[in-house]
Amino acid sequence: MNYQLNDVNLFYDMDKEERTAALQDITLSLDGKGLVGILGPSGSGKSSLLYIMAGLKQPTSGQVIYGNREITNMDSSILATLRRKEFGFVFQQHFLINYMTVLENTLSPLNINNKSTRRKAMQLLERLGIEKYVNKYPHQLSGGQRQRVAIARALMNNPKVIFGDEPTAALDHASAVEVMELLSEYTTEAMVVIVTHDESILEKADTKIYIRDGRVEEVHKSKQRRI
Amino acid sequence: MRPLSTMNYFRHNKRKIISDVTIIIVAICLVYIMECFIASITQSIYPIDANRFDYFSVIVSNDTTPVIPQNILDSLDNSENIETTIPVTVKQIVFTVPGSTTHTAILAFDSTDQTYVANKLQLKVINGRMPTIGTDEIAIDENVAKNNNLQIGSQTDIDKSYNLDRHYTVVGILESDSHISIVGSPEPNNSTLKNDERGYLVFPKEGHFEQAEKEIESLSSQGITTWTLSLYNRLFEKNNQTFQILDIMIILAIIVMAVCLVCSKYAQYFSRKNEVGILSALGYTQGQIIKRTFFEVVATNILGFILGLALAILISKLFVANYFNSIGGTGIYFYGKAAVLALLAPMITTVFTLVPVYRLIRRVDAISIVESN
Amino acid sequence: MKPLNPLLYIKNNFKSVMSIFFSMTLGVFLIYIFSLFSATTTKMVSVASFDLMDKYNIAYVDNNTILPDQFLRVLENNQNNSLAVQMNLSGLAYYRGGMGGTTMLTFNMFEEDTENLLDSFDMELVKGTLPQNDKNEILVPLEYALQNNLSVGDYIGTEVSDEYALQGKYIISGFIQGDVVFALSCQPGGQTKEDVLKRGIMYRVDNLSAVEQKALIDSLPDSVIILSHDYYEEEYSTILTSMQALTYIFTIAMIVILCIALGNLNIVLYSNRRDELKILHSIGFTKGRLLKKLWIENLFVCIGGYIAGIIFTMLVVWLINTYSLIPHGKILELISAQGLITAFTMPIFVSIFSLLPNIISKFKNENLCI
Repeated sequence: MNYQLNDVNLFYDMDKEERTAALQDITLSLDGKGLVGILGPSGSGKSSLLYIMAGLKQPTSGQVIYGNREITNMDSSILATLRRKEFGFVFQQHFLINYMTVLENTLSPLNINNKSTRRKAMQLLERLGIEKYVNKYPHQLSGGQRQRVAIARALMNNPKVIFGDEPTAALDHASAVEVMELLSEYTTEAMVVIVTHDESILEKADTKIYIRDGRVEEVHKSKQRRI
Repeated sequence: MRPLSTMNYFRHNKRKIISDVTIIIVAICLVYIMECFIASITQSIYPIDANRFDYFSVIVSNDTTPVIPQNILDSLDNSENIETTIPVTVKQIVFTVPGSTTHTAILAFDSTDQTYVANKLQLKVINGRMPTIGTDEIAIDENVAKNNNLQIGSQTDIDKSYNLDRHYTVVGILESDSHISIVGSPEPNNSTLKNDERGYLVFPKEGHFEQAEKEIESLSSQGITTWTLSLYNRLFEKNNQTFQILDIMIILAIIVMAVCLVCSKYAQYFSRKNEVGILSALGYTQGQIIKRTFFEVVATNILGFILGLALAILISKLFVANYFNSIGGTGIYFYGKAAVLALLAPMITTVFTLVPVYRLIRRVDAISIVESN
Repeated sequence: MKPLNPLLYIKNNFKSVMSIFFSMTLGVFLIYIFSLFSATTTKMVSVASFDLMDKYNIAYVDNNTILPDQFLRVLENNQNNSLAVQMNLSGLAYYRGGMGGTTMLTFNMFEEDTENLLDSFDMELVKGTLPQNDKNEILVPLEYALQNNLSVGDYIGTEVSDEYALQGKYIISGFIQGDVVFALSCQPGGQTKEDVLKRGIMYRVDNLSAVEQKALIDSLPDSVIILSHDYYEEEYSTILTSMQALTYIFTIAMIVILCIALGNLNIVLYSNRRDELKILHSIGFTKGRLLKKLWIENLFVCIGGYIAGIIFTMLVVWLINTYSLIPHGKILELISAQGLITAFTMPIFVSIFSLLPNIISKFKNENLCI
């Protein structure tokens, strides 16, 4: 999948004297599948860049083109539909719905509970090693297990782009490695965009975008994979 | 079951749903049962007091006019609106239901008039017999008998302030729409009668009811005590202001209960902000989320209404209606007005929950949820 | 203020507890205003009957018999200040601000006794004059006049409108005002006081003991009708009991609803305070101490809501009285001790039952360690 960002700016406090720049003059081109890492210190704008790409925030100026569609200023309902059909999300906090089981949480993006969707959900949960917790509730799982459920949920609709916002920040090292390995498995099928401040988890990244003070400092593409 | 369906939400949040539904059930039961109670009072008292006036009006002498002038009696006899006038002794017996007390008519006639009145009013002796003229016997209306705990052979209490100055022995139980009771004495021509015990039943000619009433009512300006259906209805309306105040209290109660429930529901939805945020991030539109919420709120209220109404009808039947019927009154347990008022509770709750929750959902921004965590 | 003082918590978290406060205020408003209606109805019955009978009983006959000489002698010997009265005039309908209406007594006495009667009840003649003998004049309470849009000089009675129970036609000679309500006319009809006294007497009971009162009543034959406190208590007991029962039913229903609704609210508030409680527990506060803290805070909020509810109700009632009822001769009671007590059960029960069942089960089982 292709992403084109042209002169994207994101400012906060527009009506105040001093406005805060979250992103400035971002121009990026990403295409194909693979692991894309967005790195930077705290407050550098990496999460803001992720949200702009995911259509969760609208830029103050500039263009964001996904595929052949400009998603800047797209209607919120159409954006929501796009997210449901083509994107998957894994956040730092798992954000599972507390009163639903693991299976129901996994099925929530599609909101369909028939044989085929259940089979697919079970396959995902098996692949993630948590199939035996299918009828458990989030509060009955460990942090790592919950994050895997979040990943299963993110993969349920066969996304073309998977966005992860610090998906391993709340996990211990072993779980973090496991989660990254799982996400890396999907880089052959989708573009996986990970925001993190921990470069060690992006060893296998195909593209690394370094961002500081809202500006892209460097884009490093791995020689091993053509994107 | 779809994971985000209302049924699935209910399945996983039974306790919350039960507590919400319980509030609605309590509100509906309170409203419905009180309305049935009020309706039972009026439906018990009104027929006992008023039904007889469907058949006749009454004129009675008093201290101002101890004897009804002959010219008035002649004018009534000659009236084209009046069929006949029957001399009568008027006494009263108490009829009490919770919330209201009245005194209903006990009448004494001469022997021929007793037969005439019994036929005219289609009095049915369902037990025992009619009283013998000149004796302290009473054939009592079945509702009045139940109310006063009287059976064949028992005696009425004395109530001097309502001219029931002796014990009457019950010899018969009557059934009639007019709810009158008949005693054997004192007859209308008895010289010991007090001024306000002597009177006449005035039967209108068929098709001349209203005109006859007007004619009777005009006699009050000549110092005679008169009783007609329209006069009774006017006084009954005036006294019913009690029940209007109760209606206002009931509506106030519904609003207060709905507000309490709304506060509780709003807090519940506020605590589900994270869920709303993540669904928005996953790609559900605000419209879809609002629709889901709408179904949850409406389904809870409909469930509460159905269960509440069923329980309210059951309680009204078991307690209110059965009790009123057991004391000779009319117990109401199916009452349209009560059902409509009861519907107000879930309706107000639905509207007042959806409005702030809608605004809450519209304000929720997926990113602010994510970032705040 | 100590850091863990409940008032400090409420002060700093007023927005969070506002829903509980607001719900309690509304609940108390409902119960208290209904209690005021009930109290007003009781007061209406009282001023037209019980309060009169606390000073006087009335013994009369309405057939051809007379009151026993012995009875009259006893009263004369006790210098009872009894008054000759005829109970042959129908009562007038009286409303207050509560539910329904009642019938006030219409006394028929001699004009020279009227001032005595008014003085004994501290009644004031606010307009017009006292009625004179056999002039078909009547004295009515000012409230009655306002309720029926009557002025001095207007006529009432069945000859004027069939909605009056009072037979005949009477001219209003004046208005009286005081703590009781009754109407007063002077229609001896040519009889002497001695004649009237043999058939009807109002005798003082406030200077007699209960035993003496009972002895007097027991000495009278069945043909004598006695109007006394007991008579009216029997007459009105069913109705007044029904109204009390209604107030209690309302209160119980509101308590149940508030317990459940505020129980849900408290669960949400508790969830938001878990970190606070965890920290306090790790500092050294026991679970019991923390539970007590939560309960006292809840109780303070509920009592705050109670006080606000009472004040709000009194304000609403004052407004209703000032702009609607008093100008029309009616009034709603502003304070009812029974209502205050009944309404007070709400914050007590709700503070306990809305909190404990949910919190205890969560609190007991929850690990409060950080």
